[in-house]
Amino acid sequence: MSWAAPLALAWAGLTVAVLAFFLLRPRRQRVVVASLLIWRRTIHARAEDTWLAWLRRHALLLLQLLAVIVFALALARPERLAMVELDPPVALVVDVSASMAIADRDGTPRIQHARDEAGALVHALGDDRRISVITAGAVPRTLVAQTTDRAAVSRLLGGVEPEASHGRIDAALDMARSLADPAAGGIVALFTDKGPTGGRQPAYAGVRTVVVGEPAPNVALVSFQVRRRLDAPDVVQGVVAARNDGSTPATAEVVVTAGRGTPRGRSLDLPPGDRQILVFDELPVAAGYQAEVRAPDDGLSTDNLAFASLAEPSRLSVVVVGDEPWPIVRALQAVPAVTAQAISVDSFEQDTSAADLYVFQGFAPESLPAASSVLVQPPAMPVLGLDAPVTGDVRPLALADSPLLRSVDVGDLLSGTDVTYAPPPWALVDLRVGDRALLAHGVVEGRRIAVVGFDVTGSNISQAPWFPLFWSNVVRWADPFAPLPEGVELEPGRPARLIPHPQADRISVAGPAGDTTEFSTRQPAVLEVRTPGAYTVRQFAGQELVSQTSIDFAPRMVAPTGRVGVPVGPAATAESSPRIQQQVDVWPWVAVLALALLLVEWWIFHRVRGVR
Amino acid sequence: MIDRTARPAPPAFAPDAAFRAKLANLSLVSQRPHGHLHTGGRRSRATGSSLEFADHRSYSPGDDFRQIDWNIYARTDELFVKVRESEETLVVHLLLDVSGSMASGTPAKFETARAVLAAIGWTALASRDVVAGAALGADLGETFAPRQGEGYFNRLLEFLQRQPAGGTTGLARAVSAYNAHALPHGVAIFVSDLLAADAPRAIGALAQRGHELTVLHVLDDEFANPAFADEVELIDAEGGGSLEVLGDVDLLRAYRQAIGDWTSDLQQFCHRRHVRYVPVRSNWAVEDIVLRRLREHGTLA
Repeated sequence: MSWAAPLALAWAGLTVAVLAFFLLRPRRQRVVVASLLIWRRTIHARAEDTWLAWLRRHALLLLQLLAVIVFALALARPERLAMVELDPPVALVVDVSASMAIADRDGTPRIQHARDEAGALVHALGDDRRISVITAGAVPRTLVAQTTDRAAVSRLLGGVEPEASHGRIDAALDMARSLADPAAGGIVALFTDKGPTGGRQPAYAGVRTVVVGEPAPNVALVSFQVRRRLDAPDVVQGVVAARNDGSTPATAEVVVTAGRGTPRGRSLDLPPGDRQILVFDELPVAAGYQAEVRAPDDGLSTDNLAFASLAEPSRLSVVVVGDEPWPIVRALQAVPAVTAQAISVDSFEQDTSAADLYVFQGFAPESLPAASSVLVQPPAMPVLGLDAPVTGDVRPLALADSPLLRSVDVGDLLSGTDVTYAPPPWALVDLRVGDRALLAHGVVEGRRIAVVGFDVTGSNISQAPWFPLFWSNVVRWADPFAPLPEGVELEPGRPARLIPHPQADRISVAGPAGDTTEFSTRQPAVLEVRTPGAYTVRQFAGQELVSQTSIDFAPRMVAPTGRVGVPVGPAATAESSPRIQQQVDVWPWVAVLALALLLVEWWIFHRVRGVR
Repeated sequence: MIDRTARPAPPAFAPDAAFRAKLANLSLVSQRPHGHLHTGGRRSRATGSSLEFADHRSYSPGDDFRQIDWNIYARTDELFVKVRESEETLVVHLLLDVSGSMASGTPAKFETARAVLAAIGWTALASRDVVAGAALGADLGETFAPRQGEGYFNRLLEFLQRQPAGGTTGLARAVSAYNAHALPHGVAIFVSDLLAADAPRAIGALAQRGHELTVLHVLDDEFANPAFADEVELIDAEGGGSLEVLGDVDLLRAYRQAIGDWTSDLQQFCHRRHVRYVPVRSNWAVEDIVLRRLREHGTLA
C-alpha cells in the first residue's frame, strides 16, 4: 500500500476538531427520577461489560472520528500494487509521406481517408484501450503514447498533415511495436497509401494495414547526379533514377535542363514498383542542373523535381607545423585540391599566410589561428580542455559513422607510442581507449578542431595504405568553406546546423523558393529544411564574401522509400489480455467506506436515538 | 382570646362530603378474627358482655351473680347464667411511605397516597374501627396512636398533612420498628412505591406480624414510561447517585420490560404471603382507587 498524496493525511488532524466539538457540546440533560433501582437493573442486565456500555454511549463520537480518519485516508489516495488485466494497447501509425496529399477523384486527399479510417477504429475500441498515435514521416514522431483520452486522440488525428518528404514507415512501425507489441497482445494499425506488394514477406507480423487512396501512378525522381566525364572534362554526364511508387503503370518523360539551356527529354515506361536509370551524356557545363519527371495522372508532383550541381572542389591551403612534418605533408599532397606546405615551429610565429587548415604536430600554439586545426599528439592544452597525453597500448573502439575514419581499418592503428587524452567536452570521440580518446573531433568557437593521438612519425603508420585516406577524410571534414560537414545532407523535417567559416560573422541562406534566412555566427545557425531544392549558403566577413556554397536537397529524401511489405487484414491479436502489475487506486473504496460510516452515524442519530 | 370554634380548612387530600358519604357505606374487610375483645362495631366469634344474647349454661362457682337468669331459677330451681356475644374491635394500620421518591410524579405519588389513606381512615373511623398509623421513611417516623371514632378523623388528617416526603428509604427498618410497638394486629394498608431493595422484606415483616395486609403500589407515569432521548444523566431523587444513560429505543424498551418484571415479582411475592397487591398510578382518581380498585381486590366491602 502506498500513498499518492501522503500530505493529505494531515486532514486526520480534523479529529481534534471533532473531539473539541464533543467536549464543548451542550451538556447532557439532567433528569431527576424517583429511583435508579430499576435503571441500574436494566443497565446491568443489558450490558454486562462496562466497556461495551461505554462503546454504546459514545458510538456517535467514535463513528465521527472514524469517518474523519477514513476521509483523510481517502484524500491521501491510497494505492496498492495489483495484477490488473488490461486491454491490449493499440498503436495507430499514420503515413504522412508526401504521397498522402494526393487527392482521389472525389477530391478528398488520402490523408483525410486515413484520418477517417483511424477515427473509426478509435470509435470502435473500448473506452479503456490505451491508444498511441505515431506519424510515419521522414522523422517518425509519437504524437501521444498509451492514452485513454479519446478526445485527445481524435484531436491529434485531425491535425495530422502530410509532409513534403518520404515516410519512414519501417521506423514508425518499430516505434509502434514498442508501444503495442503484437506479440504481447497489442494491436498496430497502419494507415497508408502503400499497398501490399505481395513480394516481400511481412516484416511486421500482426500489423493491421488499412490502405487508403485510389489506384494511381506515382512517379518520382529518386536520385539525380551530375559529373564531368573523365574522357572529356568539358562535357557533363547526368544520371537520373526514377521510380513508379503507384499501383498502375505509367509512361513518364524525364527532362534535364543544364542552367538556362535547352531542356532534354527522354521517355520511359514504369510498371508499378519499377525503378529505371537514365543517363544523359552530352550535357554542357553549367552552374546548376534540373531534372524533372512528367507523367499524366501522376498522383504526387512534389517528388518530380531534383537539382544538382557540379562538385567543384575548392582548393584548400594546408600548413603543417612541426619538426618532422613530411609524412603528413606527403599524405596531404595525395589529396585532390589540397596545397600542403610544411613550416617549422620557430617559423610559425612569423608565418603571415592565412591557411585554411593547420596541422600542429607535437606542438600547441598559444592561440589557435582563425582556421581549422588538427592537433597531432599535442601537449596539454588547458584552453581546449586537453589534459596531458598518456601513452597506452590497448585496442581502441571506433565510433560508427565517424567522418574521419571512413574506409579506415581501425585495427591497423595500434602502436605502442600512441597517446590518449581525457575527452574534452566539445569533442566527439572517434577512437576510444577505455575512457580516454585516441582520436576526437569537434567545433570550438567556429573552428573545426581534430585531436590525433597516434604516433605519426615514431612508427610506420605513415606507410599504411589508409594513411592518405585518413588525411583525406580529415581535410574533407575540416574544410572551413563547407557549411555542412562531410557526409551530412539536408533532410526534410530535420534541422541542419551550419558550421560557419572561422572568419565569417554572418551567414545568408537562400532557399529554393527564393526565401532568404540570415544568421549571425555568434549564435548557432540552425537551418529549417522544409522545401526541396538547392540551398545557397553565403558567408560574409563584414561586407566581404568569404564563401558561397550550394547544398542540394537530396531528391531521394522526397521520393517515397518504397513499399513496406505488410499484410492486409485483421491484426493477429493475442488470445488473452495481458496482466501487468500496476498501482491501483483504492481511495474510491475508502471514500465509500467513509460515506457509509457517516450514513450509519446519521441512522443511529435519527432512528435509534431520535425518541421524542 | 382563643376562638375555639374556628377550625382550619381541611387539606386538599381530605375526602369531601360527597366522597365521605359514599365511603360511609363501606367498611374494611377482615377475613379472620384478630382476638381483640373489646367494645367495637364488629361481631366476634367469642362471647362477651355485649347486649346480644347467645346461650345459657349451668352456674359455676366464680360466675358473675349478675349474669344469673333468675327467671329460669324460679321455674326450675337451678342456677343458669346468661352467655352473651362479644363485639370485636378491628385495628386498622395506615402505613405511609414518606421517602423522597414518593414526591415524584404528576401528581406526586405522595399526594395520591395521603388522599387514599385519608379516605380509608375515614371509612375505618366511621365503622368504629381503631385506626393507627405511621410514617415510614429512612426509619420509623411519626406514628398515629390508635384512635376510635369519627371524632379523630381531623387528627388523622393533621397527622397525614404533617408528613413530608423526603429523605432516603429504609422500609424494612421502619417496619421492624413499627412492629416493635406491639400494637394489635389487624388490617394494614401500606401505601408505597416500593422503590427500595428491602421493600419485599418490609412487606414480609408486616405479613408475619399477623396483619391482613394490603399493599397499595403507587407509581407515576414518568417513572413507569420514561420518554427522553439522547444522552441524559439520571439523578436519584433520594440522593442515590446518578447514572448516565443513552436514551435509545433499546434501552427504554429494556427499562419498561424491567418495570414489568419488577412489579410482577412483587405481585407474586405478595400473593405467596396472602397479601393483597393493588398497583395504582398517581394520576388515577382517588375515588376510583378507593371505590373500585380496593373493592375489586377485597380490601373494602
